[in-house]
Order: sequence, then structure tokens, then C-alpha cells
Amino acid sequence: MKPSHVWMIAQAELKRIRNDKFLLLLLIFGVPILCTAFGFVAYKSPEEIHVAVFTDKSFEDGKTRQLIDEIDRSKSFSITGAYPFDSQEDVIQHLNQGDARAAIILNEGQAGIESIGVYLDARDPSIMQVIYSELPLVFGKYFSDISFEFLTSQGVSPQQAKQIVSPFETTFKTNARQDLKFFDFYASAAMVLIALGIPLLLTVTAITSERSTGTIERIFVSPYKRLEIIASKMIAHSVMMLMIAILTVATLKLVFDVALGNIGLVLLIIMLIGVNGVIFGLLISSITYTEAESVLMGVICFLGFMVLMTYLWPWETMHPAVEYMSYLIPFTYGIQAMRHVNMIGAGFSDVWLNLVILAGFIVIQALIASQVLRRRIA
Amino acid sequence: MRISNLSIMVLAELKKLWNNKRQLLLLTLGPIILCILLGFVAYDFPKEIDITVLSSGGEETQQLIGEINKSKTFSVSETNSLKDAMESLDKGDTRAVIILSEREDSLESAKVIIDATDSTIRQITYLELRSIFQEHSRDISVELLTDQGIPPQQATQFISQFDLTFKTNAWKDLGFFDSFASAITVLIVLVIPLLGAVTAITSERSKGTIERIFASPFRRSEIIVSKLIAHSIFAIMVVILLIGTLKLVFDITLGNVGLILLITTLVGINAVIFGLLVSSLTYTEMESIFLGIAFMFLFMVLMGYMWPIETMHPVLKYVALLTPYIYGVDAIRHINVLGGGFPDVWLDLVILCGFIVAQGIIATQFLRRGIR
Repeated sequence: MKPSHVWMIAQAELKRIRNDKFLLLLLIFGVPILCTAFGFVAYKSPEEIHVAVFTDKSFEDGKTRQLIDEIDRSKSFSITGAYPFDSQEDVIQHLNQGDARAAIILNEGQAGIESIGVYLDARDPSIMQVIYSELPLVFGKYFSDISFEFLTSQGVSPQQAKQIVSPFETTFKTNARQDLKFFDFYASAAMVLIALGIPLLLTVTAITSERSTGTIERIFVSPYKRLEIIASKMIAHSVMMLMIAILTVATLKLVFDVALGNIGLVLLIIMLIGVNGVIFGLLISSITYTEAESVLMGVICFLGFMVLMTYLWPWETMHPAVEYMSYLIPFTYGIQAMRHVNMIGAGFSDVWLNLVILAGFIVIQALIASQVLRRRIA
Repeated sequence: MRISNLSIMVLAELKKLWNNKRQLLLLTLGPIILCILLGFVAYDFPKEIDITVLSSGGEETQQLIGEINKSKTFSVSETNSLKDAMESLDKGDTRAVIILSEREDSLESAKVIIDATDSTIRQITYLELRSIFQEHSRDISVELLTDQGIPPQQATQFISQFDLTFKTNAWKDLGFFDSFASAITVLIVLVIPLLGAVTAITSERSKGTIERIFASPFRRSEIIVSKLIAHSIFAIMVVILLIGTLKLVFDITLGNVGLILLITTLVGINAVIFGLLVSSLTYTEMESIFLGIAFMFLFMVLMGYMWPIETMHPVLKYVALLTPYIYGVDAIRHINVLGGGFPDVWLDLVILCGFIVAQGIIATQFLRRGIR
């Protein structure tokens, strides 16, 4: 492999990208717009989730009203609909129509609330989880107050009553190096997704477009080796990747002030993921014949990587065989490294192995791509 | 718009797609492989989450550890060193560290430090552990009251004064994958047809065949509609393969199959027409693909699949309502999860059709006759 050859083809490729002003404009504005959209969609932990409440008015006492007010006061919930509903059927219908995310049915007796039934809207698993996690806290506090009051009225001393109601203290924390906002939990994965998706899908047609325009014949009759062609295209697209990496990190930091660890490491990880995306795109491009084939295969692989790289679902939800498959793709190591650097404040010594694996994947894929680059023209 | 012109162009377009056997194979096998992969990734409720417990080994703490161990969700390992436990947490070898402190043989506090790197695991660990702790706390409270001479039944009554039950309004018992399958169907039906159609016109430009089409008597609307019909046929094929695979391999919960096919087909046609709109706006394949990817990501985050409307910035909520796919996700979830019928989703269907018409008109207007 001659560096002068690689440099020459890389320069030609870069010129081609630079000359397409519209594409450059799309890249410069597209990436920040995408990052901004990500940030404003995963903007805050769910707030004002609509819940509908039904209670039997005939027994409604001050305490029930107090509980309903507490639900309404909570930042997470907002009581909706014509409270109080006339019947349980009405409140369930309200839920089924999608006007509320949960229906709370308070069954009262002479002594106060006897039971609470919560019906959750099954359509959105993330909202269901928030309700599961937040609503019992509101009920728990209410219930503790009642028990405490009841015990003290029975002659138990306040200290002892407190000990009976809450026999031990529980606290939940994370190992994050700083207080994380809602979007911080997703920002690292969003960076990886953008760093994978854009380069992968942009390079899938790098060689097939040469085929369709007929220029690949010219390259093949030139003295350039297959490896030189692949390496030069990889370098040219990696330059573009660096621009995407900087734009992504800068937008997320400037607009949303996301939690970032060592910036150098973050950029390095994005670069390695992007180069992996580029080389995988070239690999697809070298085994396909038309642009439509390349794009289709690129999309399928992208979606496959997206689900395997522990972005949407963790290893604990995977079938054991698929869990091993997720270790065979570079992006799993990328997302893990990125999350560790940004959220736990990990340094080079903590993620060096992931970086080595990412670099190893680049070398292996480049060798495979150069081997499979077919000289035959479809 | 002449039907004969349209049928000629549709046939030509279909032949082009049909003749590319490798692409056809990808179109057939791709959705099947993707569905199987998705099903095996979102396979089950998180199980055997590794957690590390640090305790002094008293009777009460051992009892609590036993209760955590009994839960299918966790796989517990014990240690005596906080440093080792935290190192293991930061390295990702364990998902949570529980520090149990005792005073005079009774549990004084339970401190849980959860791995921040995975939000799903963080939420599940929090929910499950909290529930185990609450249960244990209730048992202790009852024991304390019975120690004071209160009968166990009455003590239980004091501590659990009312029943709290959680149910969903799902029409059937849903498996873990069922909660995601509906949205996944929409996602695949959006992505494959959108990115498949995004180069439909620009590839004609790059090969020079668009000049011949423009020189022919075909109208812009005929060009767009014929490409729309041809690509939509393939989108329908993707839809059938998707639903078939998800049902046969994972036995997902499906509502009215006819309605599901209708919704996913409308989503697919929306994606095709949007791809053609992008293709008619751009000049090179690279531009088309980049714009296609950017919109794919935008639609993906806006359609309420990854994050619900409640997490969005107020302005973005309205932007989300301006995309067709949010109605697609809403309708398909209504049918599959709640067992809804036509009266429940007719408005979503009308909106999806409306988007197709509006986008078709815009694409026709934008299709530029000028060639660079």
C-alpha cells in the first residue's frame, strides 16, 4: 500500500464531498438539528401524567380528599377529567380513550379508604414504569401518615410509632459522578447512534455509486490496489466523521449542557465508532452491486446494530444466544465506553480495552472489505 | 393523470425492482431477520441482574438477602469490602451495590447504589428492590406490633390498612416483547420503505434516465404516483413479512389483523411518499440518503416510540403531532394492546390518509424538471 496512492484517492473523494455544497450544508445543519431534536424529546422526566380518579362520594372524607390533592400536587401527575367521575365504568372508559394514562379507583368504607385499584394504560411501557415507581410513593407517604396517627392515638409514643411504621431507612442513589438530568441518561447513547447511523448509511453507496456512474472501471484499470481504494475512502469519510463528532458533542454541550466526561476520550470514542461505521458501510458497498441494494442492506444492518448494542434493551432482557451476538459488534463496546466516560467519569485506564476492541474491529473490517471488493463489474 | 401512462410507469418500476434479485432477497429476508433479532433482544423481563450485597451478616439482614435472592430478577453475590463492591459497580460487573447496616441485631438502614449507565436496569432495580424492602419492612412492623401484644391479624390490618393493586387495561396478558412489538412494527415499516424510496428519483438523475422520463409525455404527478405505487407494493410485502414473522415466531398479541395491516400499510405508504419527496428535493444520492437518515432519526424520536409525549419540550409535543407516524404508533398500540376496533382508530386512519395526499401533492410540486 503506497501512501501517495491513498492520499491521492482520499483527496479526490474529499473534493467530491466538498463540491457537493448542498450535502455539506445538510451535514453542518442536519447534525445540530438532530441533536437538538433528541434533546428536546428526551427533555425531562415525565411530568403531568394525566390520571383519572374515581371515588365513592358518599363516604368521601377529608383524608381521601387529602390523598387526591397529594396526587395532584405531585409533579409527575395531573388529575384529569370530570373528577369525581360518576362510575367506575366512566373512569375506565376515560382511560381506554387515551385521555388518561391511569385510572385510580379509591374504594371507601366507613373507616376511610379500604382499597386502591390502579388501572394503567398498557400502551406505553415507559409511562407505565413511571407510574409504577411514582404512585406508590404518594400512597406510601399517605399510608405512613395514617398509620403513625393511628398508632399514636392508641397510646404508642411518637418515636416508637415512627420505628414501627418505618423500621429501617432506605436510600437509593446512583454511581454517577454528578447529578444527572433526564436527558443525560440518553445523551451518550444518542451520540453513539448518530456517530454510527450517519457514517454507515452515507458510505454504503461509496463504491456502488462508482459502479453506477461507471467510474469504478477507471479506478480498477488504474494501478491502485484494492486495499488502497478502501483505505483512501475510509480516510476521506473519516474526516467527515470528525466534523460530525465535533458538531454532535458541541451541540449537546452548548444547547443541553449534557454531562460529559473527558472530552478528548469522548471525541476519540465517537471517532472510533464513526470509523467503524464508515468501514462497515464500505464493506456493504463492496459486496453489493446497486445503490438500492446497498441502502437496503445498510438500513437492515443499522437497525440490527441499534437493537444489539444495548441502546434500547440491556443484556438482561436478551436471549442468551443473542447476548453473545451483541459482543460480536463493535458498537456495544462503544456505547459502554461512552456511558462510562460521561456518566461515571471513567478515564482512559477504565475504557482502554473497549478502545482497543474498537480499533481491532476497524483493522479486521478493512481487511475483509479489501478482500471482498470485487473487481468484476455487475 | 392518465391511467394507461400510470400503469406503464408502474410496470417499468416494478420490473426494475423485480429484476434485481439480490435486492428482492434482501427485502424478503431483511424484515424477517430484523424481527427475529428484535424479538430475541427484547425477549424477557430483565432477569438475574447482578447485584452485590455488603452486610455484617446478622440474622435479619440474612433474611432480607434471602428475600432478594428468591426474586428471579436478581442474582446476588456478597462481599465484605465496600471498595471492591464499588469498583465492581464502576467496572460494570455488578448493576447495584446494597449496603445493609445493623444496630442491635436489627436492620437499621439499606443503602442502594445503582449503576447509572443503563436507564432500563436502573428503573427495574429501583422498582423491584423497593418492593422487596417494603414487603420486608411490613413484616418487621407486624412483628414489632405483635411484640407489643397486638394480635397478628390486627397488626397486619394496622400496617396494611388498604389493598393496593395495579392492573393494566390490556385486553390480554402481555409478554415483555408485546409492549414493544407494536411500535417496532411501525419503526421497521417507516425505515425500510423510507430509505428504499429516498434514491428513487436521484438514482434516475445520476444514471441520466430522468432526462428520458422528462422528455416523455408523462406528467410530474404520474411519475410520483407510479413510483409511489411500485414502492408501496414492496412496502406491503414488508408489512406482511413483519406481521407474519412476529406472530409465527414470537406469538405476539395482535388485535384485528385487517386493521393492523391497514395501519402499517398506510404508515409504509407515508414513508414511501416522504422518501419520494426527499428524492425530488435533492440532486445526488448522497444528499438524498443523508436527508433520509436525518428525517428517519427525527421521526424515530418524535413518534412516541422511545420517549412518550410527556417527556418532550412543550413545543416539540406539537411538532410530534405534525408527523404521521405518531398516529400510526397510537393506532397500532390501541389495536394490539387494548383490543381496539375501527371506531377507536378511525381518526388516526383519516390523518394517515390525509398525510399521504398532502405529501403526494407537495412531492409533485417539488419534483424539479431542471437537471444539473
